[in-house]
Amino acid sequence: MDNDVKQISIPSGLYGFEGLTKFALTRASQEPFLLLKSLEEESLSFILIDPLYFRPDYTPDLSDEDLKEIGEEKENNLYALAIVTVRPGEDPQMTANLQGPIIINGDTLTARQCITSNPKWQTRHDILAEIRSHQGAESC
Amino acid sequence: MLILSRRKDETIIIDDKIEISIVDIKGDQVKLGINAPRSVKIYRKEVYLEIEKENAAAARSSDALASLGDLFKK
Repeated sequence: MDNDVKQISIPSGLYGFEGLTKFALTRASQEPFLLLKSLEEESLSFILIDPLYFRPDYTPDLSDEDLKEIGEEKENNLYALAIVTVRPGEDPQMTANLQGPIIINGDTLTARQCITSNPKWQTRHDILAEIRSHQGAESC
Repeated sequence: MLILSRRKDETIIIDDKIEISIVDIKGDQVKLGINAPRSVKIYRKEVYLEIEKENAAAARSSDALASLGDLFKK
């Protein structure tokens, strides 16, 4: 996706934030993150990351219902983005939710927070640790 | 909430197409068998609650973006 601000519609909202359906998606000032800002609740925003950045093997399984809501799947029109949680402190944690990815249809600019049924994908993947272990695997 | 009593090997049917059977009962654990069309999504409720909780934590942490650059350089 390019640098423009994209207006994204999430008809079902995000879990726990069901009433909010209009968002703006932009690149964050810090690479490789993106920002998903609510257009209805000014103080609400989420940090997102492309899961492939730290898990090149990421393939969420989507149900037909998921796809029905965001529009027809065509070649390369679906993007998965993971919501990032930062827990500050002496040993700051930066995790990504790969169990509940946001799937965006690039043609319709409609998205949905899906739930993957593969137990491999959890709500808290330590991004830095996974980058390190992946780099380790590559150098073997 | 509708409450039904069922024994082992008994079934209920929801909306003509979703079948839930009691497969086994051991102590306080009940094993359910579910037959439903592929389009019906079935998850343990904990999964939803966990994702809700994580979304709430993520919403609180969006201010931390400024510190993320530093994290990456470590």
